Amino acid sequence: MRQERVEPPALVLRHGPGAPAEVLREVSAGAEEEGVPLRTRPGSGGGAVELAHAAAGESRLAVGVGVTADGEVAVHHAQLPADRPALHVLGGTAPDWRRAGRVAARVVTGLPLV
Amino acid sequence: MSDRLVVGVDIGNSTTEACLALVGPGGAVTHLGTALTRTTGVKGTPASTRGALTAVGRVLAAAGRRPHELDRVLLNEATPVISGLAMETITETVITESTMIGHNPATPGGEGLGVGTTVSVLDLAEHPVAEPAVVVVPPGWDFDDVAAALNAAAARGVPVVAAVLAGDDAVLVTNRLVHPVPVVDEVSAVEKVPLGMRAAVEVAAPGRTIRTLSNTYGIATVFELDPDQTRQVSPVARALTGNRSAVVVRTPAGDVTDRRIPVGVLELRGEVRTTKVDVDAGAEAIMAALARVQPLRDAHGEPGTHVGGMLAAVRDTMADTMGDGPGGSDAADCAIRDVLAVDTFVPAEVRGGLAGEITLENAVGLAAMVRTSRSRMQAVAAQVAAELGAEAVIGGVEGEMAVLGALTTPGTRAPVVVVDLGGGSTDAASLSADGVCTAVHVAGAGELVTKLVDSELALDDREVAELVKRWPLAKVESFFHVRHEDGTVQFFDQPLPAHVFARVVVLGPEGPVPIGTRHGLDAVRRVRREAKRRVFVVNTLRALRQVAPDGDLRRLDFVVLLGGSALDFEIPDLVADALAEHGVVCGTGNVLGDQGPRNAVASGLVAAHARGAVRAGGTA
Repeated sequence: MRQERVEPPALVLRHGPGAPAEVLREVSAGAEEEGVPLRTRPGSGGGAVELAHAAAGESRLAVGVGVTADGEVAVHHAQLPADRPALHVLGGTAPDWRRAGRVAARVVTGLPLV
Repeated sequence: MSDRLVVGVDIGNSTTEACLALVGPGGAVTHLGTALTRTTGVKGTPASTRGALTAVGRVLAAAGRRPHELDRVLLNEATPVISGLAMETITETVITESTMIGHNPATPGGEGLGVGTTVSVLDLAEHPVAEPAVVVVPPGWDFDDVAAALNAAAARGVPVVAAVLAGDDAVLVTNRLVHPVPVVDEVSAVEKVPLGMRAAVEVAAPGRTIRTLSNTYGIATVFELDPDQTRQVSPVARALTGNRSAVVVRTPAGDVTDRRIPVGVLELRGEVRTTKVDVDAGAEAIMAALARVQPLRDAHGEPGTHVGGMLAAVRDTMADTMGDGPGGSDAADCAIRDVLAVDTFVPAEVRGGLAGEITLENAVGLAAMVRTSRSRMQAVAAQVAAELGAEAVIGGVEGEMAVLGALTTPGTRAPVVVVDLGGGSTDAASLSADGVCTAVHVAGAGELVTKLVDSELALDDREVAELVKRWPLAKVESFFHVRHEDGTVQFFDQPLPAHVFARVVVLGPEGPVPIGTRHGLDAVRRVRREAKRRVFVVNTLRALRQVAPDGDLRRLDFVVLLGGSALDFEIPDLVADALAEHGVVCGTGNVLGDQGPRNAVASGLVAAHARGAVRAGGTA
């Protein structure tokens, strides 16, 4: 059987070392509720926006999420300028993190970013 | 006697326009410039003086002239009509005993039909094994806990057939179930779902709509109803048609009713006869009744009814605006001389709904036009004269002046009819070959279009509605491009802001403005064009029939469209299309060959003055 080499399209989430588990859980849940697959990978340091832009570059859907150790979340698209993320959440709570996941998914599905 | 400097000033409903010219001894006119500003206050009232002075000041400055050089200021005899609007819903949907949930959430979970007894997730552990369960989950429950509770019950042998959730996590719950079931989420008032009752939950596959609960006999089958009960649930099925998900609960007396609200009787008093019409009969019946009593002398609503309130409100506003000084009028002076009724629909929240369901309710919009007996232009003229140190003269009826101005449009000649598509009223004036001028005013114009757009799209934002009316639509398809309503694509160098992503937007002068609606671009476009057609096409035909010889549109030659709404990107086309079938030459005016549909009355005042046709009197 031929091995499928190209990985299936998905959102990519890059998180800094020690990113809070509840933030990662809520972001993943947001994307899942919208029905868009998300792959989570550990990243190096840097801000959420930086992580998100790097993740967007790796995603075959061109959309990435960045999460830092202090729970900062950003959503980015590969075509957007590096310093202008689609969404940036500082000091949010569970609903904000869930929303970040939903927004990332909706950039892909082309639905308004509610 | 040398050339004299004169300025024509037209104080309109929304804009004040000026036309500056030199008039030679023989009546030769040299145009020096035009200016436009917003009307201050209500036209014809002293408050509108400020706007008139601004317009004169601007046109003088642009031409490099000083006020003292002015020989004469020519003011129009403002048509003493003001219009008002009102809208009233005539149907109402009420759900009793929480019989159904039909809000159509964006992401329901699972698919299929589940029929069982409603039970709270808190009581699921004690639920009898033999009984199929429709689990109701209050807010605050985490999706992992809900899935665990459902899986535990299923493991115990309880047939869990469906779930209804308060939160937005139907997909998350379904993905974690050992045996996926249909799940409906975002039910904001989930605590009102009656427990211990038979209920059915249906979720259709993506891209499909429900088949069983939107079918009366489907519901009858599910709940084993007799023919009488089946008759009773038919409105429920109708209310759920087109949804991807739905819940129906079988309660003893639950019902969905679609009732007509008695709005009241409108009494139309004509010159010769009076007729009464029920407003909830709809716009067509009202307009037919109006046609029978033409010309209208006054209209009244039955006191204590909605229509009574509607007309009283219109009358009061007008009395207020006209009564801002000496010579003001009271409500009794305001006779309603025309009414335009428009059938419309208003998205309204269903009473008794569990999840903020919205239905389209029928409504009637009424534009009413009041003719007031007192003109206060004398006061305006006196103030203008004092301020500028020039003689101010009131001359010419607005309609006649508009015709004179319109005739400066290349390619026109008398007999001609001008139609002024304004903000509050649509006016027509005709000039016959032998120089006789007739003018009519009908209620309803640009403001009614804005109101229809606002309510039909449930925008609740007049500013956005105004933008939707004025500018074409586009859909934002990525951060860098939009697709216009005609299908063309436009790319941008700078990324579009995230709040407009994937939205239907208006491409106004200050960039894309999102429209807060769930409708697609085509639906918004249809609402916009229908609103314009129902107001401007209907009113143009109504007005033209009144000025056309024997009311026959085929006997009209040239129709020139004027006014602010003639600048609209599609209204002139809609009107021209409607007139084409009557063989009328119709187009947007081009006053003085370069002013477009603007400045007709101001230019007409100058032309009339040059001919020595300005009536004496009104000299301040």
